[in-house]
Amino acid sequence: MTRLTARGLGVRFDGVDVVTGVDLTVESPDWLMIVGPNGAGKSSLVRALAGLLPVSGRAAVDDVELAGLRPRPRARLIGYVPQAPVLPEAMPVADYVMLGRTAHLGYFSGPRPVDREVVGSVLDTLELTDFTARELGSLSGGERQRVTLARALAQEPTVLLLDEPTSALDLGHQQQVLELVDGLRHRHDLVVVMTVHDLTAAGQYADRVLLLDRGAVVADGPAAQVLTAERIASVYHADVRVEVDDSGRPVVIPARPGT
Amino acid sequence: MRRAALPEHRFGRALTLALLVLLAALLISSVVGAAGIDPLSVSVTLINELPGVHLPHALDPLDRTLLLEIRLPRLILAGLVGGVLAVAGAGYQGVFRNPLVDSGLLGASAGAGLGATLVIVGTGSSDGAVVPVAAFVGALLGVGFAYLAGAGRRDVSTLLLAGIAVSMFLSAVQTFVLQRSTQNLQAVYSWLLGSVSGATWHRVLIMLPYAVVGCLGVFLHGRHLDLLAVGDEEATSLGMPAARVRLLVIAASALAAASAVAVSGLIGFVGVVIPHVARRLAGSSYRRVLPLSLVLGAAFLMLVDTVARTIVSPGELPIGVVTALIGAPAFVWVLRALRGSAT
Repeated sequence: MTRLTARGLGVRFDGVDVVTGVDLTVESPDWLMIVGPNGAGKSSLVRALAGLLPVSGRAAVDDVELAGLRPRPRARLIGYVPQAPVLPEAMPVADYVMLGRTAHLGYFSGPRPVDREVVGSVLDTLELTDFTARELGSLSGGERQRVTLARALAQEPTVLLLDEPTSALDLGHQQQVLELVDGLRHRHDLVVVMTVHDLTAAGQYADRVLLLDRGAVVADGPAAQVLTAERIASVYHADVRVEVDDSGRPVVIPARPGT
Repeated sequence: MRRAALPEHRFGRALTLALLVLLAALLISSVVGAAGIDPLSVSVTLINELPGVHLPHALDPLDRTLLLEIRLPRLILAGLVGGVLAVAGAGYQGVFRNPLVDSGLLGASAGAGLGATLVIVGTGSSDGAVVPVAAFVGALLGVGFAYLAGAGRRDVSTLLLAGIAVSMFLSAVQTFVLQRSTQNLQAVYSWLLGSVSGATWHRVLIMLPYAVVGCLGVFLHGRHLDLLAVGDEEATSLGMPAARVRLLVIAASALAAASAVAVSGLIGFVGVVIPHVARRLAGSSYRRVLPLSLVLGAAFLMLVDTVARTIVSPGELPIGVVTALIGAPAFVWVLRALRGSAT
């Protein structure tokens, strides 16, 4: 089991606090969804957990403090998929996924048979074996998302951080990615932390939902407790109805104001 | 296995092709020249240089001396310069994620130009051993200034802009110095336009260590340059210290480029066009682009130098002029090809 913890985590950009005092604990294979309005600090929080921003407070994977950890050991613990990954157009899929093995290679050494094996099995898992020689520029949105996920999995991380992996996808591909992540976290015993705009998706897939507003945690808990109509109204300034489906998970339905 | 077999296969073929072109360039360039010597005798003479080999039909001693002491060192120097400039160019292109960057852009050319100008104006002569040293030091200082001025930001375009600013400043200083010493204009310009005439084995040996260390430094980072293509933040999240890799590749490329500039003056375009040809042949991975660039750059400059020393025989054109005459149209082709691939 892996445990990701943060205590009083804060991020400051040019003198402005974009994330303040975030406490969280996630144990594998749990899935934490971070939700909140635009500018709430969701991406900054994820990037802070990925070690890509200077932070105040503490963050740790098990007993390993993330502050001061060098990029290589950190990349073996944490796989990160940014909101808009850079996909070099002419790079073949297999080469791109192999980039995920960087942290496992010596500085001057190339991929070993074991690295090719890992990449092969990741490509297999994500049903990308037919794509290995395809150039990234030729992929569709859904394929791109799977390829970036494959790269993160090739890191063999214990924590997977996903920044809005579904925002550019249609409903079917959103579901595909979410189901995929759900399967992967159980199979590989991963901590998954993901930001998402779609509150219903958060409600359906998350073990826990963390609602962020102006950099601070407003609520953190099971989806049904966090995603209430009143709270969504006050944080998002949106009119919604929240219904609970048969499995006890919330479904958020936008309503026209005043109706 | 199907995966990645295609690019590797293409690379094998491209490298074989490039090596054949290099061999042909070597042979053509050793045969073509003022003193007509036939290809067979040249080949035999070259092969006879291998220990324990004594084939008939070698050149007579005079032609042998011409070949081994005059033509061959020049040829090898041209090849070395071409290969090194192409590798340094490719290295910079990886660092800046921009396929149009040249090895001279970051202050190396302008620094070398100023260094050489100061020495030529100061001593009144472009001969002697001091000019290459001054150009070498100038190139490294130019890159160093550009790096100090532009590094530290997350965004690489700042560094590139700093390089352009430093280059402009150094060029302005050079122009100022030249303005005050017009009697040296000819000597300075003939140096600036580039030449490998007067090459000796000694000069090859002087350049070689820096060229080898510089190129090796770039070569060892092929995988890292591929990783830089996804940007600093993602590269860091994948476990690579992006800023350190950038510094190392810039240092190695600058060393290689400075070694080339020192012995040959300013030769443009090779560093842009050759890596692009390599990409077209074998895909975008720097693990393949770098070795191909070395071989193709060497072949290209050998042939260009042969044209430079024969086309207006018995006179010579500056190699930089011929490179630009071929390179400028090729550069336009690069631009058009890139525009095509972007759509």
